[in-house]
Amino acid sequence: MTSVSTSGFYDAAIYNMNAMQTQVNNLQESISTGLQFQSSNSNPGAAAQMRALQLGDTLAAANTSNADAAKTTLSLADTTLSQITSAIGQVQTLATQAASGTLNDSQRASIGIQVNQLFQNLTSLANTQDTNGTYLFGGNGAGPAYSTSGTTATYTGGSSANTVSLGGGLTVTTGVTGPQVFNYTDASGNAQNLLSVVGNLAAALQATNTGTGSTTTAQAAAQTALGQLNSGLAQVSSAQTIVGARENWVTTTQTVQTQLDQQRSTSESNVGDTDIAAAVSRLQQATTILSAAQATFVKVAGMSLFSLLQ
Amino acid sequence: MSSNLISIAANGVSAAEAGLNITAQNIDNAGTTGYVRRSVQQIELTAPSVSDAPNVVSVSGVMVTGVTRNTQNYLSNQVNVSAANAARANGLVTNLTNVESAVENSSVYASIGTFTASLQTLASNPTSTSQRQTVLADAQNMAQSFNLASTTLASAQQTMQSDATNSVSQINQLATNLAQVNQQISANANPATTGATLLDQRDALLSQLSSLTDATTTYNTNGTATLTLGGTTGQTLVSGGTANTLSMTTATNGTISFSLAGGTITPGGGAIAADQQGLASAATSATSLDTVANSIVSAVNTAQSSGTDLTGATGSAIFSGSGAAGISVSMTSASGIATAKAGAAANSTDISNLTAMQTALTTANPAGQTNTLIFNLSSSVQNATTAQTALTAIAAQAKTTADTNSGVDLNTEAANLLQYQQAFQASSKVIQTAETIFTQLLSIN
Repeated sequence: MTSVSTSGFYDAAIYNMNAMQTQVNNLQESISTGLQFQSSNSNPGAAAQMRALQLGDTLAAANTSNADAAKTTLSLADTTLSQITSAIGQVQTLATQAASGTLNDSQRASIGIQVNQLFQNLTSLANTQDTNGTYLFGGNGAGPAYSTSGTTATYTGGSSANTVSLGGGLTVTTGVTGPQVFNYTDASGNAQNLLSVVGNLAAALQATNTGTGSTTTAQAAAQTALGQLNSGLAQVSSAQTIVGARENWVTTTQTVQTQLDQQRSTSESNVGDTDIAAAVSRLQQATTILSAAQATFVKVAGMSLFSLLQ
Repeated sequence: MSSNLISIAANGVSAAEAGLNITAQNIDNAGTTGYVRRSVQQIELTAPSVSDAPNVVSVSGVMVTGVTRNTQNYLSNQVNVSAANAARANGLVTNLTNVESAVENSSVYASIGTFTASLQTLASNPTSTSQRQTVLADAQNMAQSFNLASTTLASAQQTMQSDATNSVSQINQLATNLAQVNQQISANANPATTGATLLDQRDALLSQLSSLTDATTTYNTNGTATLTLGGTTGQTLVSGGTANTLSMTTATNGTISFSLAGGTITPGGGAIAADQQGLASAATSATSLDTVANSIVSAVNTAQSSGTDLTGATGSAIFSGSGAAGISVSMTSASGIATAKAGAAANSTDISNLTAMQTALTTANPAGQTNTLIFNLSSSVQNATTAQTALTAIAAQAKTTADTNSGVDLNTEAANLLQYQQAFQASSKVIQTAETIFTQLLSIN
């Protein structure tokens, strides 16, 4: 007896058509979602790779935002340093006038008042805050970069500027500290602070008018200050060069970030996206087979000896 | 002579009637699960020759000797063995998929990434209250993802445990029923005639049992079945009219073990094997998740304690509790995140401690560990699915083979119906002929 039993025939037909239907459904799903696999267990290796790539996307978003923030901060520092340079230039002009013997004490004192105003401006520029309220030249400190008492400015910021990671092992130091901008060593080898130089000049010029200093002293102070201002200005420019270089570095890392983003996106597409052409052709094949199986099932199932017995 | 003819024809009529009845029975049960096609056994009846007339033909027609169940024990055993394997593979795919989705769909992996990224963003602006709150909220989300994974995993474990409990009680019920059927079979004097239904019952019980566990079946000559669980060297479940009780023990980590007749058995097939293997995988996954959660708690809290927060105080723990179920954010104020180095002033913009925390997290690599865990789980689901496809095909093949041998084919039954109908009509015609002959004999007077 080798005849197939009726229930066996139905069982086998159902089993085969179900298997084909499942294949059709999976193909349809991967075409309609555009995803090669719907769950990790269809392709564990690719899914693990995909998760790592997506984690890379999440972290890249943080890195991009950090790079943007670093660029904003550095750009603000750059602008502020230009303003500081300009203020120092004005002090230089005033000091040149004050050093000349053609002025009387009262004129020199009024120059002193202007220099004092510029000193206030400079300390205020030194305490510039970014949009987050962080002091641009305060390094990693807790408050303002400088505190002033009379014509003396004291650095109260942190010892160094923060270094932020920009991803891919790249980092950037997001600013320069006050001492990096204003501290220098003069021609005589003495440590000097540009803010104090300006403050002291203002005090010396005003002193002649209050009777506490002589005209000669004030002129000499202005002359000395000119030399110091030159050295100080060189320091500010060098700080500005550093800031500019860091800005460029951030731009470079942004380019690297964009390239990495594109690479990840290409990988994600390769790993996870459906090859539409292949999937559609496989779907066509599977549906053809399924239709044929269904049609023949109906035909064969209709073949019963009973239907012929009258 | 004519009276002999009538009795021969009467035998033929009743044999044909038996054939018709059996055919009708077969047609009726064409769709009945476990029904084995019957056929009528009949023999020719010849009266023994008497010594004084050895050459006289003495025939008595036909006799139905019994009903044959057209089955082979080895075929139905093959069906049961392959069904147990397929049931284990099916159950395992479901169980492992539940475990996998508990870990994967709880977003543990993504939330670790988000937390890491928000720490990274905080480095740009360490004193920002909103960014600090984002970090704390992301920490909260991450802790909740771990909690969710743990809860979902526990619920998957409970499902498997209760499924296994149900399966065990079903196995015990089936074993008791089989012992009763065994008893009836062995009490039956002539299994060939009336035992078909009992044997059908026996095979139906064995078939039901095969979806629950892989029982090694021995068919005895008297028709009873002896079952052992846990392979050939395992313990006896049913022997003759006696059934032993299978019992299940649940360990604290959720895994289950089975014992029968005083010995421990490890099922290799059926639903209880799928549950046992699924629960083992769930327990391993729970341990891995706990390890990942603890590594985060340890890395972050240790870094906190060596830094200074926004108020200038030494950092306190961000996370409390341990394990995936216990992890929670105990820090309430976002200013408590210790971004600055030890000894820094309040509102310090220093990020050296934050960097140290990020480095500690990178070293602990919770995202990588979680990715590996999910990869391992999804691989095991994939392997189980591959095995399922193969084992289901094997089971379907075995069933088709057995069905070919023992199932009802309606075309064959239709032909049989015609054959027995014609035999019935022919025998009836013989009776009519005998009656005509008898009448002729009577009219001779």
